[in-house]
Amino acid sequence: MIPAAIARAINAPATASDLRQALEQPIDAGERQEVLSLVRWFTRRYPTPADRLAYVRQAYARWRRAAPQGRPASAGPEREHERRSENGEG
Amino acid sequence: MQPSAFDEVQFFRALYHSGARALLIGRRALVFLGLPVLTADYDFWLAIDDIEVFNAAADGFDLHPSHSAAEARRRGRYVLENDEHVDVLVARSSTTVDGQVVEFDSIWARRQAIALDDVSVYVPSLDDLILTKQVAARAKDLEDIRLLRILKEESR
Repeated sequence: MIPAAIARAINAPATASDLRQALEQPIDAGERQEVLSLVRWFTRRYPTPADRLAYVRQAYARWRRAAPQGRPASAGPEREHERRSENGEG
Repeated sequence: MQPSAFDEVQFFRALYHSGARALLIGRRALVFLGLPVLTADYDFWLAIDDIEVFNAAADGFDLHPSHSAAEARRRGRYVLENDEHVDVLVARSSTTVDGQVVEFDSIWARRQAIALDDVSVYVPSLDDLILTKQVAARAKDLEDIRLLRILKEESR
């Protein structure tokens, strides 16, 4: 299970200030490139929505198996990116 | 644990054929748009008059509502579940943490249709998806907002 403290952190309500920052803070070139690289990989390897749904379902199950127990709360793309790198996918 | 035998493509097909005005929101909508994020649940924003037809379609997958349609209308949300979990928002409108009112009818009118095999799945426009993320506005929603901003800028 994802530790309760982490689950609390990712589900914590944001303040209006946090939200404004997420909406307005410039996105630097590195972050943009990383995200677009992930999108390119994902849509090339899983070209249809049905493929993507199946992938996410399997990835979630794999992640859940790897967790000691319980239900992980969430994962961002960076975590998937790390897993891909570890598995040599790409 | 293995994924359950739940056939999600058939599920989306059944929802489409039900005629329910249902928008896929949440992280699975991001997956449709090409973002590799993980999620356990399905999140829909459903027209408040379409609860019965939506539930009837879900019933074919043994997904059972947590509340009656009348209760769901009063509460503004309910859940369909078995070993799958489907969160359903049925409010006519929601308010973002910074006070913007988001109306279902407006975002339904601007929806985008994404082909899934022989049917369509409806998701909000990128701008509206960002708005829906501002309603719950948890830390993970802020992360998703940045991802969606990048997609939006790239699509220009």
